[in-house]
Amino acid sequence: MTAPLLAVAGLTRDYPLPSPPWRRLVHRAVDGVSFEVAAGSIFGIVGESGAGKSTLVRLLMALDRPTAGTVRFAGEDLFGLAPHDLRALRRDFQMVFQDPFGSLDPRQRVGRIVAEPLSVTGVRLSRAARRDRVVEMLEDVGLGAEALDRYPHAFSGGQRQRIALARALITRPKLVIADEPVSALDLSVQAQVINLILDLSARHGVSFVVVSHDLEVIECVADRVGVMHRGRLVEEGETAALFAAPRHPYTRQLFAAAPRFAP
Amino acid sequence: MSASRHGSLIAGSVITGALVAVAVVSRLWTPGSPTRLAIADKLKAPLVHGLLGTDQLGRDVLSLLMVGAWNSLSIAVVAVALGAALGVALGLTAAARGGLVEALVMRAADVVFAVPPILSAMLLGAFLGTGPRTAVTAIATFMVPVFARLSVGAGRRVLARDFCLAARAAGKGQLAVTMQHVLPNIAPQIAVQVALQLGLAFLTEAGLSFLGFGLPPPAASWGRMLADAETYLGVAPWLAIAPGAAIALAVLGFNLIGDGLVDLLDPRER
Repeated sequence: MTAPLLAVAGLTRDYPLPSPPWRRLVHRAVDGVSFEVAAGSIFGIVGESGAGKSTLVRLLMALDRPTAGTVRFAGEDLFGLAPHDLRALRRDFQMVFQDPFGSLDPRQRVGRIVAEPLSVTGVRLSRAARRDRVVEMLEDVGLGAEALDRYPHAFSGGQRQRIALARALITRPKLVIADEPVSALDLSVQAQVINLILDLSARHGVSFVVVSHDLEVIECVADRVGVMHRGRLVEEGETAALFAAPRHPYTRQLFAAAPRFAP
Repeated sequence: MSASRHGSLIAGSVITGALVAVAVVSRLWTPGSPTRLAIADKLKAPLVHGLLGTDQLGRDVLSLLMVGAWNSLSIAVVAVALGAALGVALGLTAAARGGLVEALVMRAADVVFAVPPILSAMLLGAFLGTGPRTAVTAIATFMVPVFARLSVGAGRRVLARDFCLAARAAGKGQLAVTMQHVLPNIAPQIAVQVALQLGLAFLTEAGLSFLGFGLPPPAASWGRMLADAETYLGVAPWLAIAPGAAIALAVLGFNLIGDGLVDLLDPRER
């Protein structure tokens, strides 16, 4: 088996709580999480709110430092890299946020928003080449060149999430981490964005880590699933197998609690 | 947006526009000389000699007012520009760094805030002598904490939003995020504050001149015109009315602009 694209081992993050002076109290938001993501695959992380999903995402994006454990991306330890090298490596892993209304700067035009990751990761392009690349990405996600000079507020939630995807993919990354990418969207738009993620992953060979509280979303997109509960990854496996026969009691409980439409 | 807000922005712009126009014209032309003494024509009533009469030394009051507008405006604009630049820089640094840096900046702002500008101008005057530099420094000094506080709070709110996290995830450093995302997003609030502070700077400059800490004679100044007019209040009330009304109008103009901008730039009102 080839080396995994993303290898997370024993990842732990404590947050200090207000403590009396004689002992240190901490909240362990992420507790010894380990998993691997193979190149080209989609890994789903499911869990209820407060399970530590968002903290995990911040750690995977190297926006926060872990208390213990490692994140290896393409063999490189993210927290052992010099700042300059980490910056350069960021070209290969990008992020899509939950709230499409908060994650795009309202004072920048779409063209600039989408091009932002290009300008900071050392990709040198001429003005025209950059514009072409932005237009190409916008078309890739189902928008057109006319979006370039408009502001985010001119777009709907689903369109904004497409813009966010275009932005994430513009550096041609190997991995995109999507934190609740559809949970802020209408049900009909959710399906479109999910299909777009599947399509982009298949066409460009990009791996995704999709984090969601929604079991159906995860079942649709993920090849493998990890179930998070109170900071721990309690169960992990192939999506079909895990959904057919959940082993961990929490997973069964989660499945039982989810509303299901009769087939 | 309500019509009255729109109205206040327009009224404020008209008043301030007139003030700026008068100040600029005074550089090129005044009806009389603001410095030539003509004792024979002293204390003439408005319309008897010139549009607004003459003062105790026979100088044309309208000309003095026009030149005074330029002097006050240049001091106010330079002081607010300096105060805003330094204040916003400090405030955004505090917001981005947090912790000890933020605590230090905020406590320093409290200390500066506690000293009234008139007092600091008197202190500065003792070292620098009276003059435009003293006035500008004194006014700018008390502008800094105003802008620092504003930009700490506003900057922190912007930094907490996802697009700043997204910029960091894309590999941007703290300085780049601050300059490219935070500053443009707090610019409207800064613009409102600049307008309001310009009015305050005008008033403070007049106060300093009134007390003798502004521009030294013979430079024309509204505050000193007011101080000089006090002696002649019984015989020549127009000497006090003209600069008094000018100060009030100028301050009103800036405040109306500030009030109008508040709602014009508030995205929630759109």
